Amino acid sequence: MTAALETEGLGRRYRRTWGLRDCSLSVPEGSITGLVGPNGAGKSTLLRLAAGISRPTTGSVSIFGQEVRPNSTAHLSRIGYFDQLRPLYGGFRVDDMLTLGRRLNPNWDDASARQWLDDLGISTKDKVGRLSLGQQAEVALTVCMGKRPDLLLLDEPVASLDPLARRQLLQTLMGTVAERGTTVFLSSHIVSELEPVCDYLIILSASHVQITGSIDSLLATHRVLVGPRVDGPPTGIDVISAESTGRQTTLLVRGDPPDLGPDWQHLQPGLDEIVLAYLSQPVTPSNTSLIVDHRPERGEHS
Amino acid sequence: MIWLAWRRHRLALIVVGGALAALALWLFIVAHSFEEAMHSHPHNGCIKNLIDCNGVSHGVFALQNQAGFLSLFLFLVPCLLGVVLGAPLVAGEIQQRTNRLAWTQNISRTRWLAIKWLVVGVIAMALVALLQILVQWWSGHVLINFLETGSLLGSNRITPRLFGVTGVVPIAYTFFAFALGAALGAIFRRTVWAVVGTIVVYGAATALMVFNIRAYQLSSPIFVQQKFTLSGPSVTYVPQIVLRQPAWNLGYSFRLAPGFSSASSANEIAQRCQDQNYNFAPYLHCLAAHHVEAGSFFQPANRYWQLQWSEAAIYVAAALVLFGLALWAVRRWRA
Repeated sequence: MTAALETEGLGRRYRRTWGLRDCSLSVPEGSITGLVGPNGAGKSTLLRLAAGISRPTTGSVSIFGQEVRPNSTAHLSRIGYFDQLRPLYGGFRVDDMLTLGRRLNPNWDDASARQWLDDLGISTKDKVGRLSLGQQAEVALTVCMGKRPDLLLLDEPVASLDPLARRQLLQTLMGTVAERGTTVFLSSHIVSELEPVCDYLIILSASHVQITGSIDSLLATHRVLVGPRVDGPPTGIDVISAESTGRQTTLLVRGDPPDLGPDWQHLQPGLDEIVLAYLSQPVTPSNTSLIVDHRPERGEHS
Repeated sequence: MIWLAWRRHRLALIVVGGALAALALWLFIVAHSFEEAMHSHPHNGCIKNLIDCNGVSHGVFALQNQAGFLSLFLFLVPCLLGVVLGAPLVAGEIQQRTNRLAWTQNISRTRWLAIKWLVVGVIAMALVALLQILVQWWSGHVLINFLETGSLLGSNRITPRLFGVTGVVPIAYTFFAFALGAALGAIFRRTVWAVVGTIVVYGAATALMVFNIRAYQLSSPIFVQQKFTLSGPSVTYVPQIVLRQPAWNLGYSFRLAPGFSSASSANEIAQRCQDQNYNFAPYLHCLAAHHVEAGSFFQPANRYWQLQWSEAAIYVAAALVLFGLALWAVRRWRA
């Protein structure tokens, strides 16, 4: 199976800082992949590079096996890109946005785009600039969907929506996507938003990819161990994060945990716990783990 | 894409069209009133000679002032169009991030820019061309009539004040100013900087064109030597240097007599002669010894169309180069 999106050593440097660095990943065709990370982690940079708006400083991006080169247009018919800032022409009516989509895209699906807007309760007569932020996001998403893309690149698609509208939009989106077999690559900084819709997760932190994997395997390969306090990480275990409070130590570990004794409890972590553990890791190529020690009495002893 | 270019810029184009229509109306009213005054006034001899015949020609003097303002406005039209239509062409999209929307549709950046540029640029030129038809009639009927008799704007249409607002050059200026605004907008990616840059560069280009290229380079000016006879310390000369045909007087200057060459320019030699000799006669002797002739340069009015077309061609060529620059900047830009 070819990858819908593949990056190889991808990096993008802004004047002095790297927006994204040494990123190699692969998004399988037909999957729904979530990209999580804190603000400024490089999510938007990665999506802009994939859409061909930005160009890599190092490495390469390919879409369905074809490299996205400077000013190449081959990938443009296959992608639907939703920018984080939802740029739309404020003076246009919603109708004009649909005309824009129709005039610039040969595969434009006008009927379903209008159906979408109808379902979302947006009138095509309205001026884009007068719509609420949420409605603007919905119009921008309609333009993406109307292209009938094979790969949807969505940067924070539901960030400006209220919880109800979020659920509605994601449901409508996932329904259409499932019907068409579209690959979706979407970013968010809220894990709980992605968990119900995604098959795969990519965790990005401080311009680096921390981990990639299917949600099922992430859940299956991580365990929380709670036991008596230990100082320093136990050897022979891949500890992602460790926290010690008073007499107790909580470890989040990857892989099959060894038997540490009867005092230790094994728990299934939630996806958000796993993500948080990776995000609080320092950025090191070898993925060594960190002990986070919260000792409330510390100040009094010293 | 033609639809998008029109839809995106139609508001600015309609506003520009409306402003130019208002200017045209004003132009027509002034010209019409003037013609009427010229023909129906019982004392039109007074008007023609610009003499105030006991107050009867006051109305005409007012029209004359309006005509002066109008020619100034016409002078500014190309630069204003460059600022209003050219500067935001690319910079406006990048500032609003709508380039991200356009560049992820199924269209190349090259096509996107080329079509926008052509649609807006051609409409801007067409609007100015329409205005020029009226200006041509206006200058022919009102200004030139007046100028032959008196001195409304100093001289005839070969002079900078009228040359730049008549004929075909305003259309070429508009194209150039628009292309300049678009290119600077694509490079700076900020409308404000592009506006400032357009005004500065357009102003500098105009000054260079008028006082150097049009005056001396496109067609060598006619030199009329100042005649004087020297007999010892006394000098006989005619102070007024005239060309016996309507012309643009480029001013008093110097040249090396034909057939002579020198390492220094004629003006430098003249300056040295002036520094060394306080009195007029030895100064003229010094010039003569170095084969430097004093006199005035002229561009005669019958070169009007030749200069108009050459200048228009230069501006159009520069506009095309600026399009290349804008295209380079757009293709290179990475968000």
